[in-house]
Amino acid sequence: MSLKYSVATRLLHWISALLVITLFVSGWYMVQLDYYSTWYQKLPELHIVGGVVLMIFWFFILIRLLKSKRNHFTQLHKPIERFASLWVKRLFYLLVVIMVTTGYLIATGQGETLTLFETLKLPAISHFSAAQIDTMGLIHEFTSYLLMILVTLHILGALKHHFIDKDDTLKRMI
Amino acid sequence: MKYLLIGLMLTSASISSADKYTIDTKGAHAFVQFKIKHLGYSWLYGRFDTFSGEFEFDENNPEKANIEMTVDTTSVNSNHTARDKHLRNEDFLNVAAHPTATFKSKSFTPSENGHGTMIGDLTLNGVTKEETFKVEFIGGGKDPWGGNRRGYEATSTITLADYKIKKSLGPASETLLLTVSVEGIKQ
Repeated sequence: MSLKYSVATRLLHWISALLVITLFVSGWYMVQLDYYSTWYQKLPELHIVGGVVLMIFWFFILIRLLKSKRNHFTQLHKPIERFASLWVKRLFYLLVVIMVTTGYLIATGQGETLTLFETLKLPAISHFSAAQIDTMGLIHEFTSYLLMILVTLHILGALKHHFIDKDDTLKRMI
Repeated sequence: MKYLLIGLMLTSASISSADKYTIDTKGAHAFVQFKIKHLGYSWLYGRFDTFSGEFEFDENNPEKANIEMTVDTTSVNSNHTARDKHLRNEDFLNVAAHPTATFKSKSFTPSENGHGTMIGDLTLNGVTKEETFKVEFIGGGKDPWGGNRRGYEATSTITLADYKIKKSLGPASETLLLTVSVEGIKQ
């Protein structure tokens, strides 16, 4: 049981997992909503709020990364598994940073403070041209697909350790 | 030989008498505007910020008036960044595949006081279709800086589905009123 990750690590892991998947599904769904859907106005706003929450969580995750001790990989794992999981993890850090950054810049791309649900204010960092906004939009879209591929690999890996190797890899995070 | 010379002179005279005007985009005395109904409850106005064009006009042969314009569709501006981003994508203007729209006139039928009707080919979203514009002559003559200018406003109603614009925003929003207001500087 001492092998378990700390409560803080586990909480951050599962909250960001929930946010990342919810944001992907909502983003994928909101761009195909009918104009007359009651969600047409609300869902994009909720998506942005979710993105801001993930951004805040990710900030803490990255800070903890700098302070944490070296990752203690158990003897259970083969070198190839260590290598693969390490790089999937590193890509998670990078891709989520790309996602929240492009998302924020697109949402505030008009160059004016964005007000969500008449209360939450997001200050604009810069005004962007049409071409810049469209490019960031494409990056946001394709990074999200790449991220979902990695999430799938990550889940498959966890399930493999749990059901095939029957080791404690998944239990450490629960 | 004599007749040939006279003929040549006449031809050259008739060519040179049509004045060429460049649309004054530098001074922004020209506009490509549109309005479309929102839910059938109000008018939404938008414009294209970047375009260029030239027209020809001959006082003695007004029916020979012609115009060519090119519009940068990526410059669509409805004063709302998220909406403009949507207008540029495949649901509407599809600017990645078709970054320009053009208009080439084919005929002009003058009516009174310089007004008239202009028919030409409008190319939008890769589709070319003949459209008819009601043309109003606004004014023309010397400007205070040594040049000569002439201005028109042309309007037409365009059906979005004709240009393979897939997305419909409801029955009231299937046609769009296009207004092209130009001031040309005589070259």
